[in-house]
Amino acid sequence: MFYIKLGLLPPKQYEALLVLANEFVTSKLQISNTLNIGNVTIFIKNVIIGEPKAFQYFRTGSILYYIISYDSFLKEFLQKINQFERRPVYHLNVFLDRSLVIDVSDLEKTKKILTDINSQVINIIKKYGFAHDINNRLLNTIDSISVNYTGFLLLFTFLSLPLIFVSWYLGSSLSDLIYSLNKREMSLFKIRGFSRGRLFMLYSIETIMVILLGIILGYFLSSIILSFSFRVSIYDVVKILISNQIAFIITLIFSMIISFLVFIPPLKRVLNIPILHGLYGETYEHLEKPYKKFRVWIALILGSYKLLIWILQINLNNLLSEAIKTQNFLLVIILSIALIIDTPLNILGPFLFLYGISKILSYHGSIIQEKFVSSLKFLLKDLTIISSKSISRAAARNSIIIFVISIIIFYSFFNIISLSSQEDFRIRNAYFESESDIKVYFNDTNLAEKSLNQIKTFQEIEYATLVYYASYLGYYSSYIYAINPEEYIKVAFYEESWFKPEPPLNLFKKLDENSIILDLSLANYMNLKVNNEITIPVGSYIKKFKIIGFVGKNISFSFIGPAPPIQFKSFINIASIQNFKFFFTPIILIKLKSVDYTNLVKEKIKQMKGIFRIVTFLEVYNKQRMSSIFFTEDYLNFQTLISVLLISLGIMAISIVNLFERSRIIVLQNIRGLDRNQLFKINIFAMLGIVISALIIGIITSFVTALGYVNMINTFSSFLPVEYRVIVLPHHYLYLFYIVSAVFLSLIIPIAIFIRRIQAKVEEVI
Amino acid sequence: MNIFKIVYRRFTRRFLFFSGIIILAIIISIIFTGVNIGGHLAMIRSLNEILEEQIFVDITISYLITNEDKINSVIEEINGIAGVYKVEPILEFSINQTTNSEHFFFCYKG
Repeated sequence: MFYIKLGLLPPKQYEALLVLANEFVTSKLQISNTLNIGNVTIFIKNVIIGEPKAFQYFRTGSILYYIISYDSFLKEFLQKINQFERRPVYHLNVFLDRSLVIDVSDLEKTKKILTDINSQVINIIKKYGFAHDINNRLLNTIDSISVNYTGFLLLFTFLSLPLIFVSWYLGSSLSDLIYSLNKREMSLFKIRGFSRGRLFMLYSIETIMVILLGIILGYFLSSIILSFSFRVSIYDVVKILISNQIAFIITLIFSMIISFLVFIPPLKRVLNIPILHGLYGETYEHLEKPYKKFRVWIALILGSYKLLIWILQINLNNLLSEAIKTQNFLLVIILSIALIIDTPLNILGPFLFLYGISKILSYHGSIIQEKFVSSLKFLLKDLTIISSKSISRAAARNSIIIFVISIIIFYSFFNIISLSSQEDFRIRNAYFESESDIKVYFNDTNLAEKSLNQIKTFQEIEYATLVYYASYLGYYSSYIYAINPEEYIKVAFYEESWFKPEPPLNLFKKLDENSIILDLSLANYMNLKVNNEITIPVGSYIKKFKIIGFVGKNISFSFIGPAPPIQFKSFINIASIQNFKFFFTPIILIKLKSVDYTNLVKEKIKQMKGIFRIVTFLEVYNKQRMSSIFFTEDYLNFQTLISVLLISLGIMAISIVNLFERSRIIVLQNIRGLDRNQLFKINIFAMLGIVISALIIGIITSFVTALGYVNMINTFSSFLPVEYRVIVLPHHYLYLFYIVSAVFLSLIIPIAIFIRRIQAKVEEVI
Repeated sequence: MNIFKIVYRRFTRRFLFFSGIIILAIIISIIFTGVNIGGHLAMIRSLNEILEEQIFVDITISYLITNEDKINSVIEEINGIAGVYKVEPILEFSINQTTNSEHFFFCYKG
């Protein structure tokens, strides 16, 4: 008899034995069992609980792994090796000093170092004449990650497009103001004989100098935001920024292009103003772009159509496949044309809607904003008329304000809703796998029952319940849970939508020892309805159950072919298996008072006997975080921060434009006796109506767009156990609060400063 | 007057006036740096997580047993390479027990 001996591996590698442990479930092996392999009997001495990490690279699939001692086992075993099919293979595990060989800021250098080490190792092995096979996992991983870089670059560029558009649009409006303030100076230069070309040179050189300075500053300032968003130390980010010359050159080139597009057309526009007009002063008529009614209505109709499709949750692809099925060719043609228009609207729809609605509201609907200001009569009293009049005075400016604010609000809210929805989905998906905060598999019923009583005494635990688990009906198993319904609903994770035809609480209440809540895909496959009967065989335990409801999703099910990607369990009452528990695997489901206690409770449970596997929600959740979506989320975080910056800058710039434009009126109002407080109120409330309409439009559009996207994703991922949903998680409320605060602060601060300065100037002159 | 002299004077005198242009240029630059460096950072994060969670052994060399005595010399020489932290030998062999399962043994010499 030989012994599986543990104790020669570092702790992380012990965990590899879980693979072995998992297999014990299906082979019904237990500690202290013996196992015959060839003519050797192995006594299973211990099983370690944990994750199969260290040996993952060796083999996967349904294989039994053993970690054994050379002295007490292998020496004798090798003597019998000829009876077996394969010869032993030596592995040399080489551990590198990663802090020395990996330089995250320079992966090319890292690859070179690793390739050098590889060649040296190969030379050594060759020198001794061994036939060998080298697997440099570190080098392979870095190689594959470098390929991901291009993917990330493309993805992030695509995600940034709206932001680039907003900064261009906002920048153009702002630079219109910047150059307009130089109109008089330009006219004086012209009088002194400067040609238009020379003036263009003069202004563009100084603009290029300032842009270059801004780009370099921005390149390094981005380290703060990037370090915060990607949770990488600021030191590492700066190191990358300095060492990555290509990134700098790309940033420089693209920033210069956008900056030129932002600054040069307004400069040309202002240079074209006649000398006299320029000398006349601070009027901004040349900035007013003509209102193109037809274009605006088309944009609004297309945008509204897309939003309506999303609200009504209409899926044109589904309708088209239905039409093809029913051979309705007229409908097929109409739907095909609709799809050609509809597909680009998935991205452009919200922007067209916001463009259209902001123009319509400014040119035809300023009455709404005026009404809003009038409704604030209790605050403004007699000033209401002055405040509301100033709204209708600048329709073009108002449309820019509404468009810019609503687009940034839409974009930031949409980012945050996406972040929240993805996180919510990941949490629910992880809970589907872990079923509760902690799930503990036992190999002995008595030990499980004793352990449950012990676990229930832990302070960190809210509820715990024992369920019995088994597979039935052939090779591609369906799974069954024998539960105590009252306890199960308090502990386990489930979703209302999984249960039919009644809500889960009703079904669990009805679940007695003769009834079953059956897996829906199995029921559909067997064409079973409520009140039908089904016989469940588990080992020699065979019992007939009456179906009271269904659980799960309608996933195509077959006894032959590959197993479905997800499987739901059917539920029976624990009372129905009272004398047959030994055919089932006992599992304890635990709900913690807080998931923060997970590791603490897991460590306590590990000390108990009879356990062969522990699954925790946190581990499953962290594993799912490894997907690239997770890094996209980091990027969305980054974009949200940029959006807040843009909002602040945009609204401040627009407020300043507005105030410059109205500075003479404000001075006159001040001279006629209005004090600073009254002037502040008039100007704030005039802007408030516009800003609030932009906020409302932006927020509604972001939620509708998120709803549309969520429905689209759900249509394509019907095989997933849980669905995406539009949600904002509580910790993301703070982000929304920041954005709305940024809007109001950037509105109030410039007005307050401007009015204070104007009054000081007037007093000085008087 | 020299055009650069004018630019220099105006630039030093009216720096605040150009703060609008600077802020815009900064934001545009941050957006493009985010696109470029964000990809790099995502890659580093992904690498860190893979190295911490999935890869414990950096290089594995597998070979058939020919002469056990030479193994120690191989290990010694590999240990001498700059950047190598340690080398551990494992012996693996497998046996087919039944038609649908296979047993793998990993043995640490010790």
